[in-house]
Amino acid sequence: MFAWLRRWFRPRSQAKACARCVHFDNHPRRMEKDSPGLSSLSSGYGAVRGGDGQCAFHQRYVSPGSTCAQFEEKRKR
Amino acid sequence: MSTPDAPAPTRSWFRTEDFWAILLGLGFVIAASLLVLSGNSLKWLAVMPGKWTDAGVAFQQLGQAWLRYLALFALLAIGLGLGARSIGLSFRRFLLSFAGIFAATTVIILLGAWAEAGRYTLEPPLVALAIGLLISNAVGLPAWLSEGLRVEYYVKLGIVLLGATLPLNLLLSAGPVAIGQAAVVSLVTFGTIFFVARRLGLDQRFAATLGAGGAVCGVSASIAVAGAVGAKKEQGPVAITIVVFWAIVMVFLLPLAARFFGLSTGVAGAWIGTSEFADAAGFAAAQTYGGYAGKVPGIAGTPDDAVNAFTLMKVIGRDLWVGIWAFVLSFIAVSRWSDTGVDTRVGAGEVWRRFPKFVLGFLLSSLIVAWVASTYPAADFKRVLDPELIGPLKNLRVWAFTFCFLSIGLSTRWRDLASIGRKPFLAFTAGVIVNVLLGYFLSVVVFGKYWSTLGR
Repeated sequence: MFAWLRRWFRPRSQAKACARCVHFDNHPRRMEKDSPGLSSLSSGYGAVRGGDGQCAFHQRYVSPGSTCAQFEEKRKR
Repeated sequence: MSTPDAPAPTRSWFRTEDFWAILLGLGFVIAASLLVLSGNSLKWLAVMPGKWTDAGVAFQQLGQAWLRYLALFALLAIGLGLGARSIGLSFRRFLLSFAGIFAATTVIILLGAWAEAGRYTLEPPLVALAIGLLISNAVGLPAWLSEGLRVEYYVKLGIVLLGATLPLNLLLSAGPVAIGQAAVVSLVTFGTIFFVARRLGLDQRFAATLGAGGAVCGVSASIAVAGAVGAKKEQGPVAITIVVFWAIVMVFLLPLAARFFGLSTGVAGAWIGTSEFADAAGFAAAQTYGGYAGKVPGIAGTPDDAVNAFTLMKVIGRDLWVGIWAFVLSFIAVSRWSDTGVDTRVGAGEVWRRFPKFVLGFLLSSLIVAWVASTYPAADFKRVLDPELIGPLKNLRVWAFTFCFLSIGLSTRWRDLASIGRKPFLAFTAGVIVNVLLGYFLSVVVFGKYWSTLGR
């Protein structure tokens, strides 16, 4: 019982967050290109998007702070 | 240097449209205020054509004021261009595109100043939108024009400027009513879309993405909630397409329906604010309806009433709460819905992260002008502040919104939008029907007296 509540409060390491993952892409221009209509009545460059991006592995929209078991760190340039 | 447990890097807020809209909008408001306090005015720069009946007079006006138009273009092009460059667009391409948008906007505004424009329903917002849609869908858009089609950038600038013309006391007195009405409509609309979508077999995340688009702030809410709940990659574009479709339909339909019912501008503005799905499209509808005041027999109120009521309902009543919607839905998704393999938990910081920060600029503008007004005797408001401070800022707002309306049309290419399935369309449409009827009931029957006497 209340397993979901424990899961919610379980601490997560931000070191393995989506924002640092190779599968994550939140570039506004590509977001606008991949989501036709986004720039017609909204924008990829607005604050409301909160830095969300798309995960190429899970094929889902994810927040930059999300995590998963398939994390692969981006190479530093 | 980042530590292993440092927060994940996200885009700096200085590199968002919100920041630049606030910077430019407040820049204009502060400059206009300082000029008025020193006995001058921003009137020269905030050029707007006077009413004309003869085309020759219109061209003559344009010829006499060409330097003012050029100065306005230069200032806006540099300011907006620097912002565009900062958020990651090409400065050079933006300038080129903006020059085209400014030229087209000048023609549209000039056409709107024609004394007979109202008789032929040539209201500038609808003309801008219709011309844009026609060019992008029938003729095709030249590639060089696309960089400057930043609908949200322009509408946010317009909203910050709008703050200066919306009295602070009105914001404080009518805000709670707007929030109450919008809350009822938002919850019912979301519930309807979510329920119908689930009954049609769509998954919870898709249903929530669609529901947020109808209930909160259109495309922005859909994309925000898609990220918060972890919707599938193909679901975002479908939700966006449906929202864009209905938002464009409502731009034309709501003013027509309100005109048919003979609603006053304040009541119609509140209804549009409740039942239009996107800010940019809603401002087009509200400004159009405001334009009927004093021109169409039987429509009471002032042009400002429509825009003010719309703003209160949409920006204060609905947009402001997108972060809370995203936070709550994210919580429900993690705790109650099936596992996606991605842990999308978010903290309360989500509310601020997604907060539409341009609203802060809107509130600050209102505060600045309220402060300036407090330094003048009440009798001087109509004589000094209205023509020297409020008027020029209102003109700048009209320019910003017209850039926006034109950009909506030019950037909406139906053939490029995602193909939508029958089920998501039906689910959203059910929400549209409930939203429009409930919005009418609350705006006209329950709060009609309030909205028709807004600010009086």
